Amino acid sequence: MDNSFSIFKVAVVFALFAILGYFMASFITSSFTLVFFIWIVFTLIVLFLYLSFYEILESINKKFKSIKSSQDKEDKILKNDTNISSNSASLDTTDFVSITAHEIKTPVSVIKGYTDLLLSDKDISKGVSSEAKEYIKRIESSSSQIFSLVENLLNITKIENGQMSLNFEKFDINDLIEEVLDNMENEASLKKIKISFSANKDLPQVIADRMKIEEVLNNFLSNAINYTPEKGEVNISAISDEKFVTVFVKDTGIGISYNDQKKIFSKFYRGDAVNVKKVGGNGLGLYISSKIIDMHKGKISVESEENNGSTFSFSLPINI
Amino acid sequence: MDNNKNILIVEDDLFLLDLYTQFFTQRGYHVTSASDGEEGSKKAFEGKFDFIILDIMLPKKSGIEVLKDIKAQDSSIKSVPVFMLTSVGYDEIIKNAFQIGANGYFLKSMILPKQIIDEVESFMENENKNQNVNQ
Repeated sequence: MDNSFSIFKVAVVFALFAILGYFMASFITSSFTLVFFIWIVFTLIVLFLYLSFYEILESINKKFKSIKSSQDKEDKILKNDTNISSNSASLDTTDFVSITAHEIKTPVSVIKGYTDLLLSDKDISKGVSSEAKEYIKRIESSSSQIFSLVENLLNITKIENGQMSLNFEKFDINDLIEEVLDNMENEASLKKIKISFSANKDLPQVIADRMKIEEVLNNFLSNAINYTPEKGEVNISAISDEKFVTVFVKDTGIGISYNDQKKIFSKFYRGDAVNVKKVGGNGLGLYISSKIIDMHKGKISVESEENNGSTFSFSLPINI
Repeated sequence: MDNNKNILIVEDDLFLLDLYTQFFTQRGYHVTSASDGEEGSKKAFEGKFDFIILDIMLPKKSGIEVLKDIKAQDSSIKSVPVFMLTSVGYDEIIKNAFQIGANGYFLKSMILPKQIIDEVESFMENENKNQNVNQ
């Protein structure tokens, strides 16, 4: 903002306050001078405070603007599907976020390392009571949450600055699903959830970033397991038409209200039901998944009914 | 459990150093540890190792310099596989490490202490297989 303009503004405000004070003081005729004097001093103090905070406010304002513009940029970048390097100001923020994120992850991995050791080494865990073991498990699962939150934040900074690039390769989506299922088996069996999948041999191979699609599948499946009560079922299937290969992950979980469905792919959004059911998470997984699928020029969607399960799906174009 | 393998770990974060040491000892390795670059170079020359795990950001002497020391030797130590550890993945530094002769690198923040052993072991297995094929 122009400096002379703000001084002019301050002068006008002061004058208005002085006039207001004059009229107010004239009502209290007994001590006109005193009241008017106090009023002027008060006005000066307020103006002084305002001016000293002015710079701070301005800098905060600028910060907000830069965040906003980087969000606008993200949309443009995703639409163009190119890696535009951002301007230096937002690059600094990215570097800052990414360095901080890495710095946070190192001590968290130390915490996870020691809890691992406590639970896996028979000599060390010999004298540990079962209650203490339960607490250690909780420490372990909480630090896992921090670990994945930070990983997601790293992903988001990359996405929002157009630094996420795709490494395309040709692969069979059935194999990838099998792999992801192997990793999830433990989690599912803890909740006694039955996962079914029969490979569709007619699927053509897709050309996509295998690791990123694995991330999407991981996210879909862990959501399905998290939001499905014990002894529920999760079913995975894949089909194809001329243009797309589509993967469905269907669960018998708590479902998502129509309102939540519309916002579920946005950043930090977590459904209302989450608060009631107390399911852990940070509201970033589906946002990242949707961005990954967007970058592949695919489609991501959800179909659900409250208390009646959900089906998440993504489609990848066969010919890119 | 004893697999008769000697390894050297150079890492300045004492908690991480302890964790790596414990996990490798669990699997039967004989671990020698060092917590700064100078100590790392010194111990690398003194002992006989099957592989070395080397942090890049180290006090006194960087991991890159230690790596240069090792690869500049004429003795058998030159051919010992070296795996680098870094906390932030700067492409330049990693590329540089590979040029000097590093065999692999781990991003400390992306990999849990326990996983490092799996990765190193699978790398060494592949290496052995390749050598057998070549012979």
